[in-house]
Amino acid sequence: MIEKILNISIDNTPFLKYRNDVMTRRDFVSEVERIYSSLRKQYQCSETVYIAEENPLHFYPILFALWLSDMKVVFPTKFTILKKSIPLYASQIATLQNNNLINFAANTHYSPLLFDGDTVVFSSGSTGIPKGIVHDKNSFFLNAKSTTNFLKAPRGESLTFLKPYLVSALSHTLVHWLNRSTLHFADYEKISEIFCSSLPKRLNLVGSPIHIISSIKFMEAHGLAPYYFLSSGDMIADGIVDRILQKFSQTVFYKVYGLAEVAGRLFINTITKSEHISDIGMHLPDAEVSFFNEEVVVEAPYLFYGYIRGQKYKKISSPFYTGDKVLQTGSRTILVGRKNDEVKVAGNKVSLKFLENRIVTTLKQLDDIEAGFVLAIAHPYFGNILALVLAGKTYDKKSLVKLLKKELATHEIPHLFYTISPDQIPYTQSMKIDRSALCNMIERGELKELI
Amino acid sequence: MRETIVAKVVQEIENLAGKKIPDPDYNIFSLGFLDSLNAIHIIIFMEKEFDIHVNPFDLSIDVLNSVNKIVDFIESKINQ
Repeated sequence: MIEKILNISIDNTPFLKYRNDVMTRRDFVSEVERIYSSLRKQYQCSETVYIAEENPLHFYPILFALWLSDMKVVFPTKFTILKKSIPLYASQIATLQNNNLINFAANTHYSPLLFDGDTVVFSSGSTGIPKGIVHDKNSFFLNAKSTTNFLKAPRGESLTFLKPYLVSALSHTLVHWLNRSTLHFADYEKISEIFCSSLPKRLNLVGSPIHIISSIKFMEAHGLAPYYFLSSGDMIADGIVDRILQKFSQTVFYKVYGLAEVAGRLFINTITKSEHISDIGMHLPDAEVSFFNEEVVVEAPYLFYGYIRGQKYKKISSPFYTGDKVLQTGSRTILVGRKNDEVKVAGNKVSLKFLENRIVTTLKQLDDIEAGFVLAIAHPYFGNILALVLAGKTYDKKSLVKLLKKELATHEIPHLFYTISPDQIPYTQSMKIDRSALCNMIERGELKELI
Repeated sequence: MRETIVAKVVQEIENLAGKKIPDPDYNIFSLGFLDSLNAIHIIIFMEKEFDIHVNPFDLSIDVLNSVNKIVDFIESKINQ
């Protein structure tokens, strides 16, 4: 399948852009072939390769070459990129650089667990240890083809601030390849600098809520009528979408529900006016979706088939119970959250009780921590933000953040810090911590905030 | 007044990054300093610390990417 996909549109139109570099479709295929030739000379397909690369103009040709070689591929995660210590990766040594000296090394952790052509992507790790989600490499193409056919979006130029190793970024890249569009990866530089030479007539924006929100003003100032393709922020506040649609009457807002387990997208809500913004939307036509006890259950040709946790492999049978809950009222279906205690913080899943345990364990290094509670506070723009309430003495916020930063991912670091005296802690009738009462106390300004 | 705001903003960003900001025009979202999700921490900090309301329609991608720009933004909101 990959050969067929690669051959569909080889010409000199730009495909990927990053910083000042442009890679045309022809350049892309040449680079894939160059790496593929190098791989065939030196490596066996039984080896597993971990791609340690953040530049999309390097990452994707390497990925395609590995897929062509039928090698086993492990994606990096933000944990490895940010050098958070995860024992899982302790002995991973593969490093890829773009100085024409691409170095690979076998990964002994994964090689015995995987089949040739398998690709492992990781969940965000809301339960602490990221789960490896095992796909056949063709899953990604099948999902992208299905998404492209479903969207029927016109060709154009898109901007994303996503990192290339995220499943959503991979999905966008494949969709842009199939749609013969251009995808511009950007860091957090000024949009006007990215497009200093010429501004495209239409600019699609793909990314998470914070990226969408922070680009609105630029779009408005330049009279752009953007298509928005929201990749990971399915919990973006309806008010934001509504205001974007009011401001840009020509905009089509694609609000997307995707899962790493389906190698990309599952539902797409195509919104053109301020109606049914909360709806989960239509599922891709080749997926079979049902709702069992309000939970999303899926069977699809691009469904994953196993999890890796540590060095253990667990096969998953179809259909897949996603853990995401919906509310069905009349003809409408609305995504309401997770079955467990996970909440979404600006598009990232966070398990509150697990995070609470990690934070309290981490902060035990400080004296006099009696208890700590992590709460999700609804926020009009980001879905939820996190508040940490500590019982004990008054703490220095700087020290708290410094300690937590060592152990947690960025989206897990609380946004608000409070202290509570032990005798103020509210309990339910069954003597459990009354978390909703704690939230109310924050709202009423009854807790001391650490600044 | 501006110096006070600068000091508070610098302290918050350095707390989040765990390292010193080289200069007030340094792009704080450059590789290895902050990641884009920290923008939420900064927005919440601005609202709480300076008692301003940050409307998403006030924001553009470059408003938050350096200390000077964040301070300009806060001052513009305070003076409204």
